[in-house]
Amino acid sequence: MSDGEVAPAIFANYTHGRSYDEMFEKADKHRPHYDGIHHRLCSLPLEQWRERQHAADLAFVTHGITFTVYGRSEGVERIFPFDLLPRLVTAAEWHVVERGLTQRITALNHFLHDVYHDGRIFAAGIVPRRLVRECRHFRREMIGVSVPHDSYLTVVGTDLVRGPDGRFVVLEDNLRVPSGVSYMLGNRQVVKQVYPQLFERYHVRPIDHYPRMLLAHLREIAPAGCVDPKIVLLTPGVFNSAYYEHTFLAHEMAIDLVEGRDLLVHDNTVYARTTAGLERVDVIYRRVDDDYLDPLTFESKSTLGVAGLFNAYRAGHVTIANAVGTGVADDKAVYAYVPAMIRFYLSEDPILDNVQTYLLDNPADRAYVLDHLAELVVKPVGESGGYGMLVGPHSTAQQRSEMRDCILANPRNYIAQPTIALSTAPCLVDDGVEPRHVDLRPYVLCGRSITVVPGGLTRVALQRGSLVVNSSQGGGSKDTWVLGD
Amino acid sequence: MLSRVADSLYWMRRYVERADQIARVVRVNMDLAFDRAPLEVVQLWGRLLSGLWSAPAWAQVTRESPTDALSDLTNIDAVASCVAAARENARQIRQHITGEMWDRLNGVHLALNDPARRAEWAQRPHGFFQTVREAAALFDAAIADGLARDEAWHFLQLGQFLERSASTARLLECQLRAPVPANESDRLLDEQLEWICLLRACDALELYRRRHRTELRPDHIVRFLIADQLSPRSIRYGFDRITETLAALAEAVPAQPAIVVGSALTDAVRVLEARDGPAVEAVCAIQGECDRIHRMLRATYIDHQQTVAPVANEGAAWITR
Amino acid sequence: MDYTVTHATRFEYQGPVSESQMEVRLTPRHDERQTVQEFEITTNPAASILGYVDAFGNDVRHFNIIAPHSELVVRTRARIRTSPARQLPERLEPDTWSVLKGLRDNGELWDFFEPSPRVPFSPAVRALAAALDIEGHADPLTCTRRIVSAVHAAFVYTPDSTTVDTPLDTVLDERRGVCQDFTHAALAFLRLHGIPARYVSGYLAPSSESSQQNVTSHAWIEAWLPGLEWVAFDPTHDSSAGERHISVAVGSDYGDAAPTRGLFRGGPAGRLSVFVQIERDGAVSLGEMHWGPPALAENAPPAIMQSDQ
Repeated sequence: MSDGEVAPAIFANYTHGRSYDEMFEKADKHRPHYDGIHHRLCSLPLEQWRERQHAADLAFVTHGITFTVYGRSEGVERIFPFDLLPRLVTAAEWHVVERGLTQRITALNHFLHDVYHDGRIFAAGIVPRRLVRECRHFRREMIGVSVPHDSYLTVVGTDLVRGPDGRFVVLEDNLRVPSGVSYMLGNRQVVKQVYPQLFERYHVRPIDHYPRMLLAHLREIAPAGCVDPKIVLLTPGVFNSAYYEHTFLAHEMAIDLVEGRDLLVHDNTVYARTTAGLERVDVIYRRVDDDYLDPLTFESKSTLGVAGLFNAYRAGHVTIANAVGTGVADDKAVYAYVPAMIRFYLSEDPILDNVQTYLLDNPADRAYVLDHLAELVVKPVGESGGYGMLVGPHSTAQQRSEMRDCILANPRNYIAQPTIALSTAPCLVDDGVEPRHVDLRPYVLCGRSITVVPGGLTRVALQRGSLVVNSSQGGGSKDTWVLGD
Repeated sequence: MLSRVADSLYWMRRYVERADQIARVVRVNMDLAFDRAPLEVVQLWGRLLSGLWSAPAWAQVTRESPTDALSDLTNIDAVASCVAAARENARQIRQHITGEMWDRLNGVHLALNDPARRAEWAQRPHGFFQTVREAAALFDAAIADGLARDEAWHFLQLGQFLERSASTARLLECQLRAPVPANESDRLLDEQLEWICLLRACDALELYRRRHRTELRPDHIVRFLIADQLSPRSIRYGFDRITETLAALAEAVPAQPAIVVGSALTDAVRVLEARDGPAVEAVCAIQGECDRIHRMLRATYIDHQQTVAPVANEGAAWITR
Repeated sequence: MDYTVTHATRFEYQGPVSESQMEVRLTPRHDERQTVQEFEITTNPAASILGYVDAFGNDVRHFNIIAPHSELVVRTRARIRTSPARQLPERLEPDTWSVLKGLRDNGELWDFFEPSPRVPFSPAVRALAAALDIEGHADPLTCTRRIVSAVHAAFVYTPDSTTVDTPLDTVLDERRGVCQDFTHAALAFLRLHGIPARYVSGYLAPSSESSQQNVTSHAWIEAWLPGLEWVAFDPTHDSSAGERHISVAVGSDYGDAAPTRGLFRGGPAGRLSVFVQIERDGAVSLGEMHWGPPALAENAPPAIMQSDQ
């Protein structure tokens, strides 16, 4: 559509603000790569779009792709709301993201090894040792422990946002048990049914082979000498909010889905209890937190884990993915040092920037933040899912006062960042298409090599104006299309 | 497959079979009750129900009217608790069963716990039996059509036929142990009715009638329920399925020793043919064999109990620094 | 001084249990103050005994038993040579405080500066620290000595008054406890004053010329001081740790240094007995160890139960 043409009714409520809009350069001028989408939106009546959206929702229900929302009065099963309109990323833009993430995760792996071995980055004064030791997720049990190929990270979900200048920056890394892959795969399935031709024409890069890729990476990190490693997925069980994803991945990878009670450690070797007897297990893709992995070594009351597992791990008789103790590198205060890590370990400049971060343990930062609470986003360092955070511009005086108290009681536990105007993308709402804030979570698989999955989960803040995209707080998602060259 | 999954499949099927069985027994008694004096009903009822594992002390409870029995929630509860147990097992292994199997279980579970439905059944008990019978039958059909004949299927078969065989044997035992009424004329009438109830409780009345016409001879009935080769509701049929399945399981899991069915059934058949001694002992032996196979199943495929660990050698070597 | 220590721990279960997983920290330390000539460990039922060195440098042995058993015995025997207590200077320079502060700011010895699960900086702990009015301006060595003496004076040693799980706040409230409690209290006050200190578990050999059975485990502290490194004091006895102190394991508190730790699968918890015998070389040998009446073991935890699933 060229300049000067009147916008079709479907875009009547499409407001343009400060944020970078994924589809529109400015009012009535969409970006060239959105041609196909724009045309499709203009040519079909809204009613038909609503029907397709409805059909897509039904597809999710039928497949039971649900999750549980906590923090409300009961744990309720929800379908992760899905928006039919795909979010596009050009090949050139993706190239930067891919290189940037590969660089970043390589540096993080070096950091993890360094933290649990020589501590060169502490000796060099780049990262305060104290900061790392104070992390709730630091595990002294990992000091001196070797992991295959020094690969601590197997599955990483790094959250990116696009600022007003159109560049992607890193919001945070998720290095422990990142989830959401089943939504990414589910979204793609559904969207392919809705736009088969458009999909074809855009040469969207495939992601369906994710489970196979993950399996390949898991095989790469089997203990040395393992010829045909037995790999299992360790789940906390049916009550876990991501249980569907665990069953889905185990099924797609054709590996056993096990719970702690299915495993047994004997003489430092891990076995699964099967009808054929005890079968040795070599690699555990675990979706259980460190604390609950092994009641002998960690939280003794846990019934989710396997007694003696960590000793077998330390002895190199089983590989655990992701490694134990990786939480020390996705602490939000440590995040602030990742650019410095890239420079230190790789002697390179970061390709993807961090968001500016204030460390509240630092007196100068703290003073600034307490004065500007209404403008900033404050987050606890060790949480995920958006819990416990304050979004300054949307907060009440009461909430800000409570956060001030929390900060003063435990400053090390908080960081603050400026509110970023997340980019917006077109979403189907009742009356037409409107912009909603989005972020992007690509998934990165590591073993001996690093694979950045082309696309990822685009998370959407469903409420107009809202900046909170997390599934647990009522966000939704879109399919992400990385365009072929 | 994981031992826990095999265990859950096995118990899920046993509980469904048990629920079906209890509902059927309750129905038999309900129908009987319209025809007989309450006291007799209660006696018979108590006897039949006490033959089943999860029956509470019904035999001791006196009832004014037959319909009390169903509005007495314990009857539905007994079935409901079996279904709940089956469903809980199914939930834990959701990815190993078909969507339809889950829907059937979940559906009947919700129905049994729905106050509106229960109120309805208190007035029209037939609906309750219908619901349970249909759910069990459709659950079975879902298995038959939806699952490959693999290890999982073998455990389901074993759960079904061990439960059914043991249950039939138990009911038979209770009937055989029943005290004989003193009065001759009453005897024939009661005896007929009691045996009809037994056959109905085992879902074998029509099968029996087609073989033996309307003649109801206790010794024929006992032999029919134990040894008939063609009836799908005889213990022999169940044991044939069990034998087949144990062999198939042994082939599917060669790492474990095969479980072999003992001679309790063939012994019972011999006893019946020779009219040699009371059938009760033989029937008890059959139940014993069901228990034994159940325990062997667990020991071989599920629990892997090791033998008791050996005592240590006191003179252990020194470790020098 | 040369000692032979025999240590036996017995778990008796009410019914057979299975799948025991045990970790023991029973190997005496090998360092400047003591050397271990020989060490032996056996279990009954038999098991493969594996080992590793933990983050605190403790020699940890571990094993598991799958088969059903109603009793588990772990037995160790060690021959150790201890040295007399170090000669310590009368005091250190006051500026050693800044060395400690530097270490703390730099995150060194972090486990020993910070509170730990059994050594919290609770209001009760802070209140008592203030009430004891330990002169904080003196050098760290003097401060350490004063804290050790103050703890000895503030609490009454009362056998069986506490268990391994008694919180420190309760001990502070009742002003009595056993050596583990004296040690935790001393650690709290030392750490509040910025002195890194660790928990030491081990044995206290009998003072007389004789040997002894039914000895209990003992606990004391080691403070890290610039120039001296780890210096050992015994708050229960208000003394330096000397020849009679045989150290076994160290950590931030009892939890890291517990002699045994484990789980099993089975019914209700059973009974734990611990038997320690220390023979002094040259003294009349006690011969083979007898169980006798079950000795109490307030210093070793019962195996933690894993629920039967």
